[in-house]
Amino acid sequence: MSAVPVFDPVIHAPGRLQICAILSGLDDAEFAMIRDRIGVSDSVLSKHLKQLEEAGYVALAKAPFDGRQRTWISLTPAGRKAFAAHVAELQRLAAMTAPAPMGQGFSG
Amino acid sequence: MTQDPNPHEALASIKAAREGLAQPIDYPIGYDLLYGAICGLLVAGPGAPQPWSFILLPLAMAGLALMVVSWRKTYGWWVGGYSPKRARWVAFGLAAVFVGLILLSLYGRGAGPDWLFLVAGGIGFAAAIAGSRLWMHVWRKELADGLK
Repeated sequence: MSAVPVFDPVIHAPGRLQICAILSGLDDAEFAMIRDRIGVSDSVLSKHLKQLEEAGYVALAKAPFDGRQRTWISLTPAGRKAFAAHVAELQRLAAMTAPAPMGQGFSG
Repeated sequence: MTQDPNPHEALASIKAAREGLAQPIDYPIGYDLLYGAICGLLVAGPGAPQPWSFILLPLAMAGLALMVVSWRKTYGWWVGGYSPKRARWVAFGLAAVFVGLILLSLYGRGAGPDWLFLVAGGIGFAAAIAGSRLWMHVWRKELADGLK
């Protein structure tokens, strides 16, 4: 990813980070699939999705399946851009805090 | 992971989530065969004798749509062939092969031999299966390598 690094507090919370990570590899995913992957309850996932939706990072669509309404979630273009920028910032910070390789941290 | 993960923890979490998607999916071999058959019909259809050329195309399109619905229902996610940055090149390549096969099929209809559409369909069947498996391989690798 070659986005300009920008830390995004909306994305950084662990649950939302995982949601964005999953959605970044897909076109869209069903609510239950994401819930099972990240291991949270329906209400916790709904809360995370509401925050991401309010930030304009995800779009929710309801579609009938087997007589039930299912919610499908996708990253918006703004969400993809923000996630890429956040990952770039994490990589920049991680590079700054990476431990020095053995034998190179102390010259005596 | 903590509520405020450090950059290393956050990146590890992202990597794990993406790699989880990349795990092998045990979809049945029947899915490959059906996809190959549908693509075979798509490329053979234009060169088939009347009225089959009119019947095969909508039949194949309907089959493709049903396969997408079935996949979404079974696995709870979808990614289009042209969405991933690296894997899309496999899809472009496969599309180019299909266009060539459609032209071959049409050539057979216009200039003969009449059975050329069957050859095009057979090649399309094999190319679709090989191409879809290659696409899946490249996509999985792309997901796993995405943070490097």
